[in-house]
Amino acid sequence: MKKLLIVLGVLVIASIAFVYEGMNAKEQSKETAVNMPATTLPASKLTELQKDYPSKNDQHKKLGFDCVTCHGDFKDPKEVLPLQKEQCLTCHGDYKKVAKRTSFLDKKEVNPHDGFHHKDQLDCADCHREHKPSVNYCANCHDTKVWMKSTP
Amino acid sequence: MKTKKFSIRSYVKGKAAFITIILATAFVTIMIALFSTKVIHATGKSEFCGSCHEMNTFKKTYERDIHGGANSVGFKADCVQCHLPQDSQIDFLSTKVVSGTKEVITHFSGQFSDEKYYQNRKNREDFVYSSGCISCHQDIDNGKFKTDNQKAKKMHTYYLSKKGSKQAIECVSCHTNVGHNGELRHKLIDMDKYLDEK
Amino acid sequence: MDRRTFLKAGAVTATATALSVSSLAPFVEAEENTDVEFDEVFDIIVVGSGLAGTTSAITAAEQGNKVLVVDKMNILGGTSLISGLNFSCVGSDEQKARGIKDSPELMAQDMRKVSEDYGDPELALTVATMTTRFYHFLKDRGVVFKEFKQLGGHSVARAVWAGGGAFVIRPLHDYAKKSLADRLTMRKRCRVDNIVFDNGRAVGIQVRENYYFNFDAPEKDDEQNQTGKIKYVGARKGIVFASGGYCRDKKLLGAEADILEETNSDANPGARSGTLQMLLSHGAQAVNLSLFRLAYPIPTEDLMWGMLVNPEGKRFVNEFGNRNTIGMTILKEKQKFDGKAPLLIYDQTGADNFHDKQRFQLSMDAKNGYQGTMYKFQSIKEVAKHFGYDPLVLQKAVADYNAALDSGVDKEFSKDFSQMNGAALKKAPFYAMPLTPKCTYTPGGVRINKAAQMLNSTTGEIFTGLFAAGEATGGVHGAMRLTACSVPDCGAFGLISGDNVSAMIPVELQVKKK
Repeated sequence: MKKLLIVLGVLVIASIAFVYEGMNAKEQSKETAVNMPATTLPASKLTELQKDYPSKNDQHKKLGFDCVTCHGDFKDPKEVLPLQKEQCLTCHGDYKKVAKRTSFLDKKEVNPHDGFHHKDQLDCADCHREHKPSVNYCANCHDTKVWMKSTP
Repeated sequence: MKTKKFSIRSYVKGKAAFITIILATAFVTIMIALFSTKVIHATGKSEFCGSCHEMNTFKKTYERDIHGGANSVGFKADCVQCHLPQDSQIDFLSTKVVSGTKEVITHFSGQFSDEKYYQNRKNREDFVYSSGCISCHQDIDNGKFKTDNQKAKKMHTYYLSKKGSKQAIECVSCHTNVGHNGELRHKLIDMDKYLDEK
Repeated sequence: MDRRTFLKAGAVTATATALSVSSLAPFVEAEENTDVEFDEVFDIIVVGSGLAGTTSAITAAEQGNKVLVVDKMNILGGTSLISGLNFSCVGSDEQKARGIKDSPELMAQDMRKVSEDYGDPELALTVATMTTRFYHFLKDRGVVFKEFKQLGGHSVARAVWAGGGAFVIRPLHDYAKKSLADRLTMRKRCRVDNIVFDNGRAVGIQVRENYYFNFDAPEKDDEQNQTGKIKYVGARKGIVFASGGYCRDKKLLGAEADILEETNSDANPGARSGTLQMLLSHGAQAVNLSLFRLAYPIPTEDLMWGMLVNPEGKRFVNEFGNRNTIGMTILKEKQKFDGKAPLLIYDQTGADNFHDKQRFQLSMDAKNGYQGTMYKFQSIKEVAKHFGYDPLVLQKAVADYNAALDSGVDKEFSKDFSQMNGAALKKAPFYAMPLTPKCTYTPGGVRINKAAQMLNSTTGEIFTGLFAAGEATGGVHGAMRLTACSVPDCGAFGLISGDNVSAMIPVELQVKKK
């Protein structure tokens, strides 16, 4: 009987170990030797700047973006401009792709990513702001509250 | 298996021995059945996963995705290709058993809703495995990734530079649309209603 | 900007004397100076990318000129892009197909009828005369007209419609990109701050590139916006100002007529007076700046089916009146109540009586511009609740109105109840919206002659090398711009300015060595 218990015990422990492994399986990704290219301004200066211009975009924050990720390398912070659509779209694909992603806005034919007036002409930053609360550009001329919710 | 350490001969007599043999056989049989390549394979396909109706949206959107067969070459990745780790056999099996069991429990207890699935999208790094992506898209990992888009090149370098560190990001951290044709966001819930309530 | 920073900003010191400096400075007689150095030089610069600017630029580029179009806004197309762009045209194929007899003189006569004799009749006739050419200009460059309409104030049917501004501007811009790419450059976010004169002739502009219009505080944009990098762009032949009107400039509107500050506008948010003021600082002549054109989200003719009440629940105007009378009365009423707009209410019969159902539907869908949304209610009580009225007060107003209707006589405001076709406030559901007139067009602007040349207020002479077209100009329409007559104006003077600036004898200009 004792031996039986031992056998059972071993089986239980094996199972627990197995389940534990299953619950905690992490990618076995190893650190790489790859580094991002050096920036003109030192990293400390960029961190400082980022404190002055924090991101309000949760997704970008989660990805750990710094100034140069979006704005590119720069010498003088004063040179840095708001992003134009082409820059955003290097990651976000193109207007068609964005319009497809947001096709749930088409219901009332008011998807601003394929809008009646501006089609694909607006800059993303005309609505979606990185460092300030986003706005709805359509609200310059329309009662958008009726057909659109707040801009992410 | 640990059972082999014991000499069967000395336990062949008695009730205890009988029970032990039955249990051990049962365990081994279940393990073999569970992990036989065929079963593992069959239970990793969309037909199996999609047989529960709560997976309906996932199945349909997957089928419309380039990874779900919507391509010209007929390629189709299995659910588990992305949703189970591919860099270790043990992890693959153990994760399969655990998350599979979880799904079964969720299924029978009815503790699921499209809203919950929607909410869980933000934890996507926990159930979509970069090792799965990389098992096919190997160029990403070995640095031979070729593209005309300089930004894409830069961002994949960014991925590698963070890999394995505390700030590591995964493929789906950026590729939020992958696998389900970018439709999960609005197929799972009524965006209008959802945003209204917010 | 003061003179010193202007100098520091990159102009070669030697050129400074030739430039009249700040936009606030009085007109400085240009001194002889041939050493002006520019960052870039084109044959022609067009300021503004709306219908007039685009037409002018295309016309000039087609004649072989190297043309630059600049626009301060984040998009190209200006107010034209978001307007209906009905086009009154004499001699269109549509008119011919229907055998309609029309003439430029007749159209000009129609335009002058509502002008109250303001403005210049010669300019109106010029506009009407050019419509046939402009019609073919648009058609040949990809614009497709979908509808032909008889519109109010026109003695014959002559309006063609492409489906909205986007269906006119987009084909033209696409055409420019496709066929004139080597000669025509369009640059958005590029604001003109000043004109560079050389020997009395306009030879270039000072611009700010990467100008980011301040959408957060648009009313302060002209005065306070410091964004952008200064550049000097030369124009060998001349500069066309098609910089639009100032509907959104409450400060200027309010200075001309106090109550105009109460208007709404859904023109291009950049429709302000900065460029106009800059032109005036150089001595351009402003005409008719006090004039304005009011409009409503729903057709004026369909106001009559409803009742208008002020925030106290009292009627204050005959809803069956003319556009400007009702508009001015509403604006005065708004002033009395701290800017709170009166409420317009219809019942189902009133809504059914609308002659323009499409615009009614647009209002129901909340797509009819700023504060152009109509809401639906099952009872007057609900209306009161939604718009913050005392239900008893509003119910009494409705009862009084219905009683007056039943009696057949409007003792207060003499509304002609015999025309109501059953519309009252009896049959649920009810439809209601706060009603504010919009200022959608400013007939005033810089004075031009019929060759689209800008005139100097002190000398009465033309400015050599300066042209203007479209809503930026004044005196074409007079008191009330006739419906669908802005497009022909933009077209006529777009074409004329394009032709005439192309015909200028070019001057040699120096490009700064890098």
